[in-house]
Amino acid sequence: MTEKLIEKLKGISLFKGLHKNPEALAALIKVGSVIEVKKGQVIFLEDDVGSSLYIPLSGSYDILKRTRAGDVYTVSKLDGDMPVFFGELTLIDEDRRSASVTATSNGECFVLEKKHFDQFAEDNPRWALSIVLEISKTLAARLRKTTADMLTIFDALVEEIKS
Amino acid sequence: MMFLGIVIAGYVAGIAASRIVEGNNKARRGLVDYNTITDHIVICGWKDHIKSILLDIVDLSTEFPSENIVLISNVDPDKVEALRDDGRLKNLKFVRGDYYSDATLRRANVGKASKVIVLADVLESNSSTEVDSKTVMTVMSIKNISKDTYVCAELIDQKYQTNLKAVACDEIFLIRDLSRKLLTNTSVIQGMSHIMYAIIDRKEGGVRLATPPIPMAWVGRSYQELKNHYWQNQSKLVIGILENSGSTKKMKLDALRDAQKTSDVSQLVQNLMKVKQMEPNYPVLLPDDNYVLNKHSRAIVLERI
Repeated sequence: MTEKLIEKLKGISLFKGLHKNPEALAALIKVGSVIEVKKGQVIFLEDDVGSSLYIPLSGSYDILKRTRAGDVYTVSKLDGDMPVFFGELTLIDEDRRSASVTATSNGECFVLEKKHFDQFAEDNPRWALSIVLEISKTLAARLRKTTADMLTIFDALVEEIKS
Repeated sequence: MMFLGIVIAGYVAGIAASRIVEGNNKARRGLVDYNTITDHIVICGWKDHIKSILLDIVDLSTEFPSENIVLISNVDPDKVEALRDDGRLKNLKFVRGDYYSDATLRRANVGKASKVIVLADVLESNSSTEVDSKTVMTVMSIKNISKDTYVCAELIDQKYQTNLKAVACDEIFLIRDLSRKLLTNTSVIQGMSHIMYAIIDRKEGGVRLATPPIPMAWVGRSYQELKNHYWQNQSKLVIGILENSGSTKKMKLDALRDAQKTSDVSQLVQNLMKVKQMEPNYPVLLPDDNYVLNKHSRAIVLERI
């Protein structure tokens, strides 16, 4: 199982800096856990305070969000076969979840709690640094997208006022 | 005692009869308010051939017998009484007053009407500018009273069309434009005027155009499936889809809710722009077979009568 997990984590962009370091990945796996999920199970809800990273190992998942009017829509559908993960920001900061995740079939997920990651970071700062670096890159990309989105909305508002 | 009883009964009967006569008189003169009537049709304005228009409405529709029609106009009540001489219009309701006035429109309870038709009324003026301006004012007043009321307006000059669209008029007849287009089409397509007449005349044994609503279960399916369903099950020919039909307010609210269902801000802005530019009752004729059916749409169908 550990070998399989190591192979899975090697494919995850979050652990790019540790792809050639199976010892680091094994240590990470040790502080995490594998949970079973049932079809229909809500992994977490939008606006819940979160503190764990999830990496789907098998099964399928819907990422859902609410509009301002309260309507729920599907942002994306994920598969355990894909190199995907969610909740990575909670490793840095326990904040509200930006979407809900529901299992649409039975499956398994690798879960890493923040408190266990913090311990891993204390014991292995260089390894943890590479993970935090990848999270920072994700944050930077999102910030750039938010800036671009703000400009899009600004332009749309200006056009609206002009017309 | 008996004599007193007869006198009292006679007095009461006299008062009742006088009230009824007075009521009928007021109704005849267009002085009665109809603010409890609902799901009726209101006709604003007067035309020389108004009788034919009213009789056509009564004959073509099961929902609008004469008691469900309210006519608003400043016309002489005797002319309205002459309309009632025809048995099919004997219960026609009449509100006398300026049809573009808020107070008069409320007397006809336009807020609860099923439909309001605003005619290009040339009773007081022949100037197309004046006539069309009154039409725009009337539609504005009606939409102020109730945004949900379905309004069809007749315009002489198409230059006022944008004004009517800006106040969310649901249907616009451009009478000059329609007539011109019919004439020009007739000059290049043989029999065009006869074909159009056959479709809108709705004679028994002929065909007619209809726009049945598309049920929610069909939303997301294809135009081809709808076409096949109507032809195979009802021998009706679907020639297109009428988009954005129904209450403009409800449609826009629904569309706004749907437009938000994306995390992509650029897509969100595009979606919101589409909602803003939504045209009510927009016909899409002979779309591709894989055209997707949307909410608030109707099938445009040719069917046998």
